[in-house]
This record gives sequence, C-alpha cells and structure tokens, in this order.
Amino acid sequence: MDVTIEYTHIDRFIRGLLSHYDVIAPVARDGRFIFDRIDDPAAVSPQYDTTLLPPVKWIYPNNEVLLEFDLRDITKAAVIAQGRPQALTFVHPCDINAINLMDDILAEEPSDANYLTRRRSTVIIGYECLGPCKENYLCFDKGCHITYKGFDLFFTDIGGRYYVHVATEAGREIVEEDGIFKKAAYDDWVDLMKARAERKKGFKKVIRGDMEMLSHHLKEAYHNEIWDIEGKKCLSCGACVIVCPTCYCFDVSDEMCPDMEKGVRTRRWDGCQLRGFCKVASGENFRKDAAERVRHRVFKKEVYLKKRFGRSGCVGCGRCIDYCIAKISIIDIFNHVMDRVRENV
Amino acid sequence: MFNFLPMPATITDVRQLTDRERLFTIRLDNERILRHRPCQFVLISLFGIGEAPISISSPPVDSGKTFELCIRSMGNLTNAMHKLSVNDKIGIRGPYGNGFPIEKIGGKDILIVAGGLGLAPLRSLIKYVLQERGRYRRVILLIGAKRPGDILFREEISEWERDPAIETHITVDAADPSWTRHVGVITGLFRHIDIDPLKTIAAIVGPPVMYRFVIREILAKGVFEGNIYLDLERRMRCGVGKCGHCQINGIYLCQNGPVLSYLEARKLQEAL
Amino acid sequence: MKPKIGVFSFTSCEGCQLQVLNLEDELPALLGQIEFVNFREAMSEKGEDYEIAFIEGSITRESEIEELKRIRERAKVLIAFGACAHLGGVNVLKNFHPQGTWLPSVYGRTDLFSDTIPTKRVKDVVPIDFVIPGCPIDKKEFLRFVQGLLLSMKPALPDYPVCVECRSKGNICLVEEGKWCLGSVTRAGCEAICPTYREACAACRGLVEEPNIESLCNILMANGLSKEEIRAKFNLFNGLEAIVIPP
Repeated sequence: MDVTIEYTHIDRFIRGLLSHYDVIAPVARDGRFIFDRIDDPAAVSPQYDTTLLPPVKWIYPNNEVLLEFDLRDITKAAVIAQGRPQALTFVHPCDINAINLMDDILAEEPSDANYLTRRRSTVIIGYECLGPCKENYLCFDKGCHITYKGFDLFFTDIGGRYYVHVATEAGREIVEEDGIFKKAAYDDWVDLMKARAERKKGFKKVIRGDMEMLSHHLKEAYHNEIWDIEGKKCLSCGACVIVCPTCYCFDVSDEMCPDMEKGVRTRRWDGCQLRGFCKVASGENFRKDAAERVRHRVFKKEVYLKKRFGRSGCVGCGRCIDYCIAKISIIDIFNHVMDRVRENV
Repeated sequence: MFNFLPMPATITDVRQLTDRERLFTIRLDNERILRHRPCQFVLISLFGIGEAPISISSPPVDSGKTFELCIRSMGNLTNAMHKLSVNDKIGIRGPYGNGFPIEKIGGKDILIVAGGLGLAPLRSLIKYVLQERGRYRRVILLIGAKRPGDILFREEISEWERDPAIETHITVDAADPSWTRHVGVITGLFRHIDIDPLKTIAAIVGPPVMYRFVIREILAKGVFEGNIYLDLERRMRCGVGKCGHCQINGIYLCQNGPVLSYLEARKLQEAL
Repeated sequence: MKPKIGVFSFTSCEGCQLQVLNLEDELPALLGQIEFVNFREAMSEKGEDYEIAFIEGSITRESEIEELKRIRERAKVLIAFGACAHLGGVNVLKNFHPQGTWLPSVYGRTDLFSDTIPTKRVKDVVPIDFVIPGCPIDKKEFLRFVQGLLLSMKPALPDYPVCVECRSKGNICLVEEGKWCLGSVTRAGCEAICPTYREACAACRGLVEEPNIESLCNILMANGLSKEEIRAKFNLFNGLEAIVIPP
C-alpha cells in the first residue's frame, strides 16, 4: 500500500508519532546535522546532508548498561535490555542499508539481546535523498543510495507532497491513524518515477573499477604500499570507526555506585583503529602498527564482512572520509588499489 | 540470544602452583555443568572489576560438576582472583571457542607441545587423552618453562614421567643447580623424539614467539600442516564473536578458535 | 578499616582539590568507605597517619622538595593528581625564561619566594604510583580511581585519545573547521569537555602512547599554524615532555 502526504501535514504527522514513540530526527546543530530526540516537530530538518553520527547509534548506544549487580549478592545480577518504542525518522537509504547489515551482524548467533531488544521496538521511517549529500560519497558505487527493505515507511519528495511507501504493519498503523495520508494515485506514482529518474542523474561513480571485484583486488593488495602511506598519516584517533554506521566493536567495563555495593556493567564503543585494541594482558599487541590497523578497517568492511554476510560492510556514506582530519579516504585507497590492478594487467 | 549475565559459581578449592599461578576448582551453582571440550575457555567475571578469559585446565567429564582454571596473577581481575578463597562466589560465562577437535584424533599418535602457561589449556587435553588412553597410539608430551620454579603442575608431570602411557620430555631455558633434565629452548627437545609423521597429530600452545619455531620443527619431521593444531591467544572480550578484539583477519578467534590447524592459521596473515 | 587519605597541595591553583569537593552527591557515600585525615581545603585537622597521598601541584621551590619527600616516606601509595603534579602543568612555562627573570616579571619585586627553582613534576622528585591527569582532574575519574583502590585494582587510564569521546558525542571537530586542537594525541577520560564547549583540547591530560605528532603537525600547519605556534600549544601543559616537532 502506498500513500501520499502534503508538505503542510508533516508537522501533524510528527506530532502523531510523538504520541506513540520517542521520535529521533535530523536536527541542525552549529550548521551540521545530528539525529536527536525531539519533542517539537519544528526542530526537524528533513533536508539534511549526512549526520555526524549515524542513526543506528540510537539502536546501539554508547555506554549502554548491560547488567546491574550488587556485590552483597552477586547471584542477583540482572540483565538490562531496554526497548522504549522509538521512531527513527527521515533516515537516508545509506543509513537504512547500514542498519540492515547491523541487524544481520548482531542477529547472527549468539545474537545480541540488547541490540535486538532495541531494534524490535524501533520503527524506521526512510527518506529518499534527492542526490548526493556532499562531496565525499560512494553510496552510488555501493548501490546503497537505494534500499528495498529495512523501513516501515519510506518518503520520497515528489513536489508539494511526499510519496510514502508503506512496507510493514507498523507503518500501516501509523499512516491509517493519522488521517492525513491519502491513498497514492496513478499521477503520484508517475511523479515518483520522474523524481527518481531525476535523482539518479545526480549520482556519480567515484571508484575507477568494478566494485564486484574490489574484495578480490584488495586481497591481492594485502602487502600494497598504500597501507604504510595511510598508516603514516593515521592518528589512530578512532574518528572513522566511531562515526561509521556499520562499526559495532565494543569494550565492557564495570562502574560502581559510591557506596561500593551496587554497580553496573556497561559497554562503550571501541574500535580497531585504536592502538590498544588488540593488546592482551601479557602486554603483547597483535596489531601494533597504524598501517596494519588501517588495512584491517578496510578489509573488515570489504573482505571479511562481505565474505560473511554476502555484501560489503561499507554503505558509502563517506563519514569516515569527512571526519578524518588526516584526510585518509577509502575512495582514494580503493582507487589506488584499482589503478594498481589496471597497471599490472 | 545472548546477554552478558554470568552464571554464578563457587570456588571449591585453591592450590598454589608457582609464585604466580594458582589452580582454582570451580563449581557452577544450581547444579549446572559446564560441558566443555579441551582447550575451550571461560570468561571469569568479578563484579566491580570486570571479566577475563581463562582456559579450562581440567578435562571434560560427565560426572563431576567442577572444573579447574589455572590463573596467573597479572592484571586487575587475575590479581583479585588470587585474593579469593574457598566458598567465594564468582561469575562464569562460557564455555567459549571451538576447543580441540578430539573427534579427529582417534587412533593417532598425539604430540603435545606446551610452552610456559600453554600447559594450562593443554592439561585438559592431556588428561582427556589419558582417560581415553585406549583410543590413541603414542602420546608424547614436550614441556618447556623459563625456570624450574615456573613449571606448572609439577606433581602431575612427575606422575606422567613415571607413567608408561605417556612419553614426557621437559626442558627449562635457565636451570638452577638442582635441575637434572634438559636445558634450553623447547625446540631442542625435538632431537630426542622420533615420530611417525603420517600418524601424528600435534597440539601446540605457548607464548606467541614460540609457535613459528615449534611449527618449523614439526614440519621438518614431515607432519601434515592440517594435523598441527595451535591454540592462539588474543584479547577475548565478549566470547560471542561481536566485540572485535580477538579478530584475526576474517575470523573471530573466540568463535572460530582458539584452536586452529596450521593449515588454517597459515592462510591468516595476522595469526602467527 | 577505612583507608586513610591525605590530600596535599604544592604549586597550583588548588582547583583539583576543589574537584574532589565538587563530588557533592557522591562524597557522603564515599566517606563511608574512606577517611580523609589531611585535606587543607576541606578540614582543619592535619593528620599524619595517611596511607594514600594525593599530591596536587608541581614543585617550584626548594622547600617543597623536602616536604614532598617527607610525604612519600609516610604514604604507602602516592598519586600525582592534576596536570601540575603529573606534567608540571602551566607552571613549566617559567622554565622557558631565564632564571632570575621570573620574580620581577610576575611580582615586580624579588624579595618573595627566594628559593624558587625551575618547575619539576612530582615524579622528578619522588617515585609515584599512579597518576590522575587533567587540568583540573575529572571528578568522576577521581571517584572511579578511589573505588578502584578499594577493590585493590590498579587504576587504568584510557589508552585512547580524546577524539574517541569527542566523536562519540557527535561534536563538530575543531580541526575540521580549520582550527587547532590536540585531542587526537591526548589521553581521553575527560569526556572531551573542552571541545564539547568549542574550546581546543590543550593536552592537559598528557599524551597517548605513541602519539602521531608528525601527522598532527602536518594537519595543524595546513590549518595555518607555524611550528613555533604548535610548540607553544604543546608547551602549555607538556613543556617537560619530550615532544619532537618534526623539522
């Protein structure tokens, strides 16, 4: 079932959502955008580029409490898996593709109870970007500028109104209750097709080579000089892995109340680019050079996750490029590897 | 579905093995049985301090409800563990990892190479093999330690040395005046053993630097790469293949390891 | 027995002591676990029976050396707390000027503090067991540290840089905006408080292990800073650390 909604009704639509969900939406902050919890529809900026942190972080939050315990009786420790109903709204296709991959990764047995609990209480309202958000993107090469699943509703701007694809039962309930959605007519569909055709013209391929072969070429380039070149630049600051919508590495630690009786076990985001990530208790560091760590990040996305889940771990959002102050770019790395292949042929 | 809640367990015995290592006997509360395989590990949990991965040192058994962990005091959790005594409560998650492929080794000669703390996980395999001794041909055990005082499970090693069912060779890097056996690194022991390469399965556990040299010796004796098994160490944090710390190229060691054949490990550039 | 704690102050603004007192919500419960016996900013008693000594401030006078050694002899555990004790802090700035020029330029007279010497870190004078970094210290980190001691833990500081905490908050990066910030080479644990308020990280918590100074210098120079300016940024808190600005 597909419906439409006039621009002027978006406020009412968000207000309706607010009565059932914590609404997470793109909002402007200091000239950039973030996904934040809102309670005023006016705060929402549907026209945004790429947010600083991806929306998936609302399903996989930092410093999440996993367990509560009491040192007086450790057998009473209890799992904290929270799932308040939340709506992630105006989510771009790249970020939906990322959530789809995170779903696969974290649902793989032994599946992650905390993530899945939150995921099950989350509805996702997609929003079709009308072209590349910004300079650094490779979503088109990745085929992640579009998405076919992973949303409850999906909005496309067709001029004066949005075309809304209703994909799930939860989505249907939202559009039925509001009374501001109209059943999509043939003309709406024609406008949708026109908008999509127009949209497609904006995207460009940025990788010089066949993306299907990337994984293979990278494996051949395991000892390529590019890793040392990029490793020299790398600050090991972890920005790339913190902002990545498909990074899920974490560390676990305990925190005690001041009375030293009760405490919590929490997990915080960790990342393979940080120096101490592979250090064991004896002091040995199994990935001690920045070059090895940079290579691992790229391989994790393009080789290891691809082998395991059938698709690349990179959705092409470009955040890791935008937020690397050392200007390490996966686009440049991929092109370097692709160029080398061409030279050798 | 997995959550981070450890199973409550009780320490039922503590034995000092060396200056640094103690052997803890642990029973899961509520009649639970660990049901592990040799060379699997558990995550010990002490609330307020955290978790640490520890190899299981006892063999799998159906009847007994306890298991043993040999713990070297070297970090916050293991130091705190050394302060605990009988009847104290701890948390256990696991067992994790693939464990040693015991179903593949029946009818074979078993060569076990243990360097330093590597004897802790291998003890589960040694004891398992000795319990099921009839299923195997020769059992050869090579043990290396830095100094005589560092040798773990000394009484058991003495028993094994007397036991005709197992050929035990032991060496230390640096001897003291009372030491009467081999001196030198563990690879030196290979001069003293003859093996039938086509019938031999090798199991190696030791410090990271040891693997390359020991593997070279075993390959030189003609053993097939797929019949050499290694138990690798990485930072096992979650045990369920998610947190990323133990990843070696494409595999999570906590799930696809810690035991890998050399045939597999050789293909992972980060393994050795 | 509750462990007895002494808090001592040398050359500093005493803001780190104040951070301890700012733990208003937590102190009542914490005082069930520990006992302060000497804490000038908080109490008038001056007990000498402390086992754990927190040292605030750097050493800038001859007389302070003897006092610090005396505390070290009494304390089982000695912690340098705050950037002045840990790194020398801003007090090190005077080391970059010739001795003898300090007093007249600061006080306009020379008959005060006649025993003033080049600034030293606490570890330059006595062995230290632990560090709680920061200018000022993070009060939550102090709390975790004391809780760790109560659990016989060796308190561990984060080994990753401030960027991790800063990016996790979704902050806009100052360096990206063409400004300077040392967060990428500075030990985290402060929840990136300065960049969160749009102030550059000045590395008050000291550097991470193996900081990539060369890469950061290239980035900051591209943002228009000179080598001398970069050096000055590091010197604000890390004047005694061996930081090599590449040629």
